[in-house]
Amino acid sequence: MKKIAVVEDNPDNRLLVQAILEDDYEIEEYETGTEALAGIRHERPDLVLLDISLPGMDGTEVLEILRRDAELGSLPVIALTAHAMAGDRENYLAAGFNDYISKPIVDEDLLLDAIHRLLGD
Amino acid sequence: MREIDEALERIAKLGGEGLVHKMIGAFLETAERRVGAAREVLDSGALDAVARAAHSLSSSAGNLGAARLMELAREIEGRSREIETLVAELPEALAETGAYLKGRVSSDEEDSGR
Repeated sequence: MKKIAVVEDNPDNRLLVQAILEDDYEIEEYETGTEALAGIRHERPDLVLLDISLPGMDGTEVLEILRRDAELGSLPVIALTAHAMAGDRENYLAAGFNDYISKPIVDEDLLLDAIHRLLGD
Repeated sequence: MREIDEALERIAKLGGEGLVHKMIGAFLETAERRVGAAREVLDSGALDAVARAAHSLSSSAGNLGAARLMELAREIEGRSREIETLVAELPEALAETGAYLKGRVSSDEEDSGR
């Protein structure tokens, strides 16, 4: 099974994402950007779901660090954000995310489709 | 600054330059303290704590379809962040105003030959 790193500080968001993904993917959960970077370097996932508003180092910072890394730079990363509005898609893409998903996740197919597109499965 | 000049003119009509100086003096004395008090709250992270708590609450409420709670929390988060930005602007705004008022007072003193 392909592996997805879920970086999200809110426990019920993690529960929801886990429930959506656990049948099809192996999940690795992280609560902070620092933990996520260490974990991702240690065991590279196939895709990263990254909450934008993390405590301490926020999602955009984590992404910048990932993109600068020679090995991890090409990892597909999907932003999870509570603040998605019209025009934000371009901003997130410009920032280097491959896609974004709005929170709350009301339609799990949106998330699954976005992941399928990036993993080609 | 035109509005300041107009206001000071009205005050001068009420109580002369003496009143103008007193009011400017009183303002300069207290305004810095008040800005400081607001900045202290900002620096303490209290507004950040409200915003973060509201953000998480909004997120969780949204997952369970609690739309009203989600919206309320979202509103609180947004406005807390706005307040942070506004309070951060206070010192510069005060410095600009203070400089102008001080300039007004000292030029008055020069004019009156002190």
